[in-house]
Parts: sequence; structure tokens; C-alpha cells
Amino acid sequence: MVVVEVVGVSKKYGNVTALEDVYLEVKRGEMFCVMGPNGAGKTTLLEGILGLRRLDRGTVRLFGVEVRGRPPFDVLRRVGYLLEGMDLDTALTAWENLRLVAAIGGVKTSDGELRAVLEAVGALEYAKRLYGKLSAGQKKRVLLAAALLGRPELLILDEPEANLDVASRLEIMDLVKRLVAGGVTVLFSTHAADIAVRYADRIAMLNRKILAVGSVEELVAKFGGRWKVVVRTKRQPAGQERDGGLYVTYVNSPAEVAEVLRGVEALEISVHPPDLGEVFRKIWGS
Amino acid sequence: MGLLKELVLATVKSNARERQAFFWILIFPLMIYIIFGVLLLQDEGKPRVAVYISNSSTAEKLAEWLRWYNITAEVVKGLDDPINFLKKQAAVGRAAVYVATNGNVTIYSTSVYGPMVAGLVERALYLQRFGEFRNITMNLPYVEGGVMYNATYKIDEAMANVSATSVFRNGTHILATIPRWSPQFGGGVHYVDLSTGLRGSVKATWLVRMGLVIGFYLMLTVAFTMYSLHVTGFLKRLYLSPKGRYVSLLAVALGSLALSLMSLFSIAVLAYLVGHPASVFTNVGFLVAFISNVLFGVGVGLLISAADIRLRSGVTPPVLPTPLFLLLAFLSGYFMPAELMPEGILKVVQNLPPYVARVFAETAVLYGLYDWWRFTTAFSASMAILVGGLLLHPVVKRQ
Repeated sequence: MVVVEVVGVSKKYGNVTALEDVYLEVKRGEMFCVMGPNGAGKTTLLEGILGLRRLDRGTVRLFGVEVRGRPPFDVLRRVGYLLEGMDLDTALTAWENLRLVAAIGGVKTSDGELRAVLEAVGALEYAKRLYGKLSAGQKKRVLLAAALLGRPELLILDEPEANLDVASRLEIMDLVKRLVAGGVTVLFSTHAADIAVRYADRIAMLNRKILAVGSVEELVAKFGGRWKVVVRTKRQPAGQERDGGLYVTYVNSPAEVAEVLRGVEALEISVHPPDLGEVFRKIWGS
Repeated sequence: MGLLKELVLATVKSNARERQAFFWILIFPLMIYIIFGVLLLQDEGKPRVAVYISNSSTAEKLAEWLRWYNITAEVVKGLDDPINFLKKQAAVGRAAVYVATNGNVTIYSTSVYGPMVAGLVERALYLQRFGEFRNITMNLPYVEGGVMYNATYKIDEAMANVSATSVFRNGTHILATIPRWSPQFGGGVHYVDLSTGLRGSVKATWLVRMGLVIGFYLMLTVAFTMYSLHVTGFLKRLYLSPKGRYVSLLAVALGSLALSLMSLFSIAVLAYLVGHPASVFTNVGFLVAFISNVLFGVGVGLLISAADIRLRSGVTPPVLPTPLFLLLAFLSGYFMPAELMPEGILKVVQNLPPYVARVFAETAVLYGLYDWWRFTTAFSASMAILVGGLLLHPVVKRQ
């Protein structure tokens, strides 16, 4: 079932085109990424889906319901969101903030439910601390908890990993991924190719218009790009390049890694996804 | 109810924990009250008043009556344009009384001095000149900004029965300069002695103004609360709230109002502790004027916020609320007598809801007089501003 459907959406700010004839579909249970550089129209698209931006043309359907402007409440209650510039009150505790967000969203929550949500994102231990005193990663967890209030079926997240250190961004995205495993559909945006590759089931490459849509494998297969395999071994396998004391090889898909390593006495192996940014630049350039 | 409760609680907690907000909303008004309302009012001596009266025997008697209250009276002779002269005197901080040939008495003065003279003159007319008509109700009519309007409709009745009527009808000019104003309670019948009631009256006036300013101050609180909600992205949440934008905006306003009420309460407690007449806050006139100012303040705050969201591209602190608040507060006579302003400006200012609310509350508290008609007009204007703020506020810029 299609959860989010965007049909021929266009948007201009004055003379600047933000979105041009955008089509995409997000299916139930998938983690769908809108990837693009800054200014590509990601925020406009996500906020347009929620009615926070006035779209010039096209149609948006959420759960099969066509929405114009603010979605109706019976649709909205099934959606959690974490949008650009969305933060919480620094002078309230995480707990108090969540109560406020729930009240604004018309979500009836018990203390038990609040505790469960905070626990789900690993933020229960600092629930009673002032939000302003939390680290960036902790804040993001609380924001994610706010998006999860009311047990939404769809999460719309605008660059959820932005402004976090390397470890925290992976932690947050791991959390989101776990939510998908629990049945939640996620539509998120990022400009970070590594995040898109690592977490998205499907990726829409956006730069005002959709340049390509597909899984990582599909995009790589279609537009080029190889997985990088780095092997530390006692002797150099045939056909491998030398790279800083390690031996490096490239394959078209992770399935080929086993084949490459056959017969190799590896001390250490790491597999790196294709550089989707390179793919993006290639598509954009073409 | 959930949204209202949570937003009010959140606003109160958040502001109580933010040092800056806590200072401006709760500490600053108390400081102002202590400095201007307590310390500066301590050394309040006896009123020293100079009264200029035209050369007539009746006026001389009136002057004597005023002198009995430590007021100095002097005579003004041969004025070509007495009204203009008296208005100019009033504009420099003096009070002036003019009895026209048709018997109408008008008190010209600043808002601080006028009512005292009005009360004294009326009392003189009532007790000294026309004592035999004590059973006639002598209501002090509407006093606005120190100017007593239509004061003679009752006096005329009395004058018609005494020989001295013609004297009063014959253009008596009285000019009084008074450093402080005096108390008159009870609609012109039950006067309080000037020498004992002066201090209480000044304090009552000060309390009324401080209380009303707190309602009026909501324009800042609301504008900055909306800004803070904008910065934290809460406005997007409010836009997407099933409660709808009007309820959401009103909930924000209610949260800000809760802060104002806390501020008002703390001032009332402080006033009570230092022996000021805190009971003025329970006066019906004060309460409705406070509500009027609250509506006006919230409305203007929302309009400022609406303009910020609609017209400005970035999220930056609103620059308009503070200067606008100060301007309106000064113009409306909260921090200085409005009558000192040029006549042209005063004419405009007299239509501002905060001005009317202040005059209404002061008149109600000090005289027990209620000009409901005029007040209702101002109240309706405040309500219209609030409705305008609600209607024009987009909550988010849906560009």
C-alpha cells in the first residue's frame, strides 16, 4: 500500500524553482530517503506534503487521502514529524516538553505511554532534565520521541541526523531503522550520501526534480559506482590495488565480496558502500 | 482543555525558569513599584496649591474655601480668552477651573491634579454656597484626564434657588496649581479630607496604573512568546494541531495572561504589605479596564507577531513591541499626564483603548463613576484588535 503519494508537484519562490514536477511514492513499511544537496527542495517537499508549504501544482495523498493545506486530523494523527527548525523548549524538561507536544497534537497520553516512548528512543534516563541542558544527541532522541507520540504509522523526518557528531548520527538513524522494523513507514531527507546508502530502502535523488529513484543497488547498477572492499592480508591477492598498506578492491554489489575473498587469508575486512554522491553528481551532470 | 492547561503550565514554568523572562515579567514590575510607588511617595507633604480667581465676591469665597485646604488662591482679571489661558496653565501642570456664563463648570488640569480641584470646587459649591440643598444628590459627573465635564446639571438646580447663582453664571475664572492631586470618593457627596486622603489617593492611582500597565504589557509578552514558539518550531506544531489555529493562538495568549496575573498578584501582595490600597484591584471598574487592556495587549502582540511572520524572512527577535509599548503607555497617560501633550496629539490619544481604560478605571476607583458607554466603545475596539490579531495571524508562513 502506498502511504505517501506525490503527483506532479511543483513549487516556485518568486522566480526560483524549488520543485518541478515531482513524483514519488512511499510504500508502507519502507524507509524512503529523499537525498539531495542543500537547496535541492527537500524541506519544501516534506513540508509541502504536510501542508506547511503552499504548493503551486500537483497532488499529495497521505494514506490515500488527497490533502490540500493542512491534512485532516484523522490523517494527521497517523503521522509523526520532525521538521526543519523544530526544537523544544529549553526551559522545560524532556518530559514536560513531550506532554506539551502531545497536547498540541491532540494526542492523549498516559505517563506510562510517555515513559514507553522515551524508553524506545533511549531517553528515559534524562526525561526529568531540562531539555536545554541535554547534548545534541540526547536532544535529537527527545525530538524523535516527540515525533513518536500517538504511535504514528508514518514518520516524516527532515535531516534527522543533521548537526550531530559521527557516532550520534548513526545512533539516531539506527533508532529510526528499528522503528521501521517495528512497522513504521519512514520518509526522511538527507544530504549525506553515506546515511542514505546505509539506511534507506529506496532513495529519491532530488535536485528540484526527481533525478532518480531506486534502491542503492538499483541506482548503482544504473548509474555506476562500486562497493569498496578493504582487506588487510598477509599477501596481496591477485588483481587488487595497493592502498596505504591495505589491499583494496571494488565490486558491483556486496554479493561479490565473498567471491573476491575466496582463498585470501584476510586479517581484517571492511566493506564500504558506493559513493552515492558520486552517482548523484554523475546524474546531475548528465 | 488539555491544550490550554499544558500551554499555560508550560508558559509559566518556562518563563519562571528563564532568568531574563522572570526578571522582566515578575521582578521588574515589582522594582518599578517599589521605586516609584513606595520610595518616592514616602516624602509626600501637604499640598500647596495656588488658585487664581477672577474678581468677584463669590469667587473670593471659593478661594477662601480652597485656602482652608492649604491652597493659595489668586485672582485673574480681564482675560480676553479665559479658556485658552486656562488650558495653557493646565498644560504646564497646573489645574484650572472655569465657570462659564451658562453655569457649566469645567476643570482644566493634568490628569493628576484636576480631580482634586474638581472635588474641592464641587464641595465648595455644595457645602459653602448651597448647603441648604444637602438632600439633593450632587453627583460628580464624568472626570476625564482631570477635566470635569457637564458638572453643572445638578448645580444648576441648586443655583436656581439661591441669590448667588448669577455670580457663578457670570464667567468666573479659577486657576489652581497643585503639586499633587487629592482624593474624592463617593461621587461628589462623601469627600475625604484633602490633608488626610491625599496620600491614599495618589497610591490608589499609582496602583491602578501599574495594574493596567501589566495588562497592556501583554503586547510584549505575547509577541515574544510567539517569537520563542517560532524559534523552537512550535508554531509548526500549532499549525498542525487538531485544535485549530484560533484555539492554539488563544492558548498561547492565555499562557501569557497567566504570567500577567502572577505579576499583578505579586504587586497586590507588595502593595498590601507596604500599606497601599491593594483593594483597588477588586474594583469592578479596574477589573473591566484590565480585561480591556489584556484584549488590547494580546491583540497588538498577535498583530506584531503576524507581521513578523508574514513580512520578515528570517527568524529574528521582534523589534517593534518594546518601543510601541512605551509609546502607547506614555501617550495613554500611564507614565506621565497625557494632558501635557499637544492638543492635536491628545485628541488622537483620547481614542486609544488603553487611554480610555485608564481614565475609566481611575474614575471608577476614585469617584465611583462609570462611563460605561465610552468604555464599551474602547472595549469593543480592543476586542476588534484581538479578533484582527487572531484572523491575521498565519501561525506559520505558508509560502
